[in-house]
Amino acid sequence: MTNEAFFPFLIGILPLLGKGALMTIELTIISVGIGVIIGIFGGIARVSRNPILLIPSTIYVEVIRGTPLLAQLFLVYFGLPSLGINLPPFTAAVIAMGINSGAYVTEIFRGGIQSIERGQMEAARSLGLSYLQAMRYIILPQAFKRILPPLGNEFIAMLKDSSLASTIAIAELMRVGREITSRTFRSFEVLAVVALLYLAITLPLSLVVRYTERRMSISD
Amino acid sequence: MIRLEKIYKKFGRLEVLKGVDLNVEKGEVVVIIGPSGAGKSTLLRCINLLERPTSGRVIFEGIDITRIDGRVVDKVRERIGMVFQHINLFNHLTAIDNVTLAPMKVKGLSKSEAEHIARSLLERMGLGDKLYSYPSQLSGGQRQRVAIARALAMQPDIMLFDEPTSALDPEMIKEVLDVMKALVNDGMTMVIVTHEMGFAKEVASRIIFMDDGCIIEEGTPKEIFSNPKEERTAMFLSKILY
Repeated sequence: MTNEAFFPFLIGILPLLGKGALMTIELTIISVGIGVIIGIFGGIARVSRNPILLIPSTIYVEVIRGTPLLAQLFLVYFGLPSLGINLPPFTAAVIAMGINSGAYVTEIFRGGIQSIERGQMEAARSLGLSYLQAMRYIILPQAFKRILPPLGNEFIAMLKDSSLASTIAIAELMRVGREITSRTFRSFEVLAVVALLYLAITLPLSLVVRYTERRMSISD
Repeated sequence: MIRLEKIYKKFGRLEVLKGVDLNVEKGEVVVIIGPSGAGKSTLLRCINLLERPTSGRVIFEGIDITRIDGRVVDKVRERIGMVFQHINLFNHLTAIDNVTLAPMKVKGLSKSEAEHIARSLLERMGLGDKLYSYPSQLSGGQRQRVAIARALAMQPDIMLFDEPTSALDPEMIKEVLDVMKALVNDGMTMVIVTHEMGFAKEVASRIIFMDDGCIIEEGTPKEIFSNPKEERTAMFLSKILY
């Protein structure tokens, strides 16, 4: 163990940790972005009465939610090469995390769509709008407002879970922390700072989520 | 214009419509009355297929629309306006956007064309100063008048009203009925489910009394209100007319 005092040591490692934190944020934004795109279509499929849409979307949600993200990540990064598909770590991570997030966001959209009164759909259809037009112009805009808080929570959860990407050699916050630890052997201090950095990102986010939740309960 | 033949509708084991025949001619104002649970609203909702009949035919201008492709049903619905008990304005849109949405997205009108139509309709409804209000900022009566304008903006051939005043506070009923009366005077073909007997008596060209999933009796307002032939009609009227 080196004897350098904590604060100078901290200032020395902060730029590295900062870069890791940026990578964590980038990974999360892209993954949840993919998740939201999957989730819009998944949510529509989950409220469909057509079995061709309903059954695959239900299986997707159950399988993804019922298996560990780490297993999904390894399957994409270590498993696919045996099928001849080699992906760079970052691509593998956003694919696995995006598909994972998509399952949760699908359920968020399903709940949001189902929370809109049936009369909205009926009024839209009575005017001659098709089912998909009614979804796009009437149901989804209203559902989207209601699902912002749970979507924020999903973002926070994914931000923390993105630490799993450290296992496939992505230099995000957790990985950077572990590398510094193995170089300096100051495990407790470094890992505590890493944890606090996660908190520093998630805490403002959850405050925003709570604020929008409260505002929406007033306006509704 | 619209003919319903032998309409049956079951919800699970509950039979709500038991072989109803109904014919509506152009320019007619048909008012359907009867006790709750008689199947009045379900019958109305079968006309534009918001409710699919379990069996029977719905013939709109010679075509059985229960047998056609979904896209064609959308085309038919464009021409059948509907006003709901629970109003169902699009909550995220202003009054004028509620009215312009379908003309733009379904008929492909430009924004300025659609707004021109919407503005004049909303003004006719006495809502010229509420164009940019959201539904939550309007009273029930105002909301229902926006909903009527929304349906009229598609220039329908026929208008369906499903208890349009039942969810309104009493002091707002008249403003909605006045607007409907103006439509009657314009010669709009209308099918109305209502409990407003005074209004029914005044505007109906034909009154239909329904009970227990069947049409029991139909006739002019005078025949039904002054001289009902069926005992069930007389019983119903004696209970509700004060």
